[in-house]
Amino acid sequence: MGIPFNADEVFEMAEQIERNGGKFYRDAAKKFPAISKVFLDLAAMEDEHLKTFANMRAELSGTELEEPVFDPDGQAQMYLRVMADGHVFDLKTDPAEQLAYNNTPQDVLKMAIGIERDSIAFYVGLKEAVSRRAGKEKIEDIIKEEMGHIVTLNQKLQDLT
Amino acid sequence: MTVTLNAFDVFEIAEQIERNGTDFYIRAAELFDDHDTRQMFLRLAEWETEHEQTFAQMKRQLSEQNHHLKTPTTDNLLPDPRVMAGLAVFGIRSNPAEELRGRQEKTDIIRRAVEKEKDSIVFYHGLKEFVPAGADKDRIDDIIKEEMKHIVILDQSLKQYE
Repeated sequence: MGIPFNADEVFEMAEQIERNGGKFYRDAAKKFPAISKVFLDLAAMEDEHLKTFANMRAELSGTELEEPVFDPDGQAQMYLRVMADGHVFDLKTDPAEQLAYNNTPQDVLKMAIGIERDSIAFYVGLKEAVSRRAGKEKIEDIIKEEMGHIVTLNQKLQDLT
Repeated sequence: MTVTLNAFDVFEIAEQIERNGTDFYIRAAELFDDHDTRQMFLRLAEWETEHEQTFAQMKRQLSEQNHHLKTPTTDNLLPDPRVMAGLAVFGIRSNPAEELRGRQEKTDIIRRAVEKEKDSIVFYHGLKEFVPAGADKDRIDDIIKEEMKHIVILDQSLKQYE
């Protein structure tokens, strides 16, 4: 098992996911003005998630910040570590850079669905790794909203095909 | 047209995800000469079969509780059943044998396996909304945790090939 995470590290990763997501949607909106509204709405929601995660991190500051997050079996820790390592979850690369290789709105919508899926897969692990006090329910709310984003994107994809 | 799914439908998709997973891992095992990696894929295939049996059992219990489950009624629907219809894209998008055709690069195969595990985690998290709090929800939670463990195992294997 690797070095345990502390709450600060994992919430920082969550913030980065949302920052990347917001930038991706704003760039996608510029690239495809015909469907910019859906992308801009999603960008605004990712901005809200970013604020939520930032607030959660701030709330934990001075309390659990230096403590490893709650995870009795260490499984969620290992899962989060795999994501942080970047081998199978690339959370560090800015997805907006990949927009250059996606030339149709359909390609970008599919890519967006993949990004949303990866963020949910991360947040499900994050939820397992944090205590109720650290905001388990807030993470669940964000997961539900990300699922809603997939519905929106999937609907748009169907409209275009 | 808005597509909606009832509880019976989502359990069927969950079973299909696991069947596809088993087929994928058996096929992947055939593509590796290394004994340990082959064994890893075959173990993963066995675990996915166990998950399929769990979902099949849960679906049966659901059927017994409601003979009319095949007919969507408001009782069987999520508050927003379009969510599961949207997530279903992760469960039914590919035939495993087709997926591995021409995909001979070892790291590609392992990465593809990780993608499938991520699909499962997201779909099953949505699936939890279809069952009341209690034993069934806990069983789905256990399966999600096992899928996370699969990702950890696959990641370790990936590092050997990179």
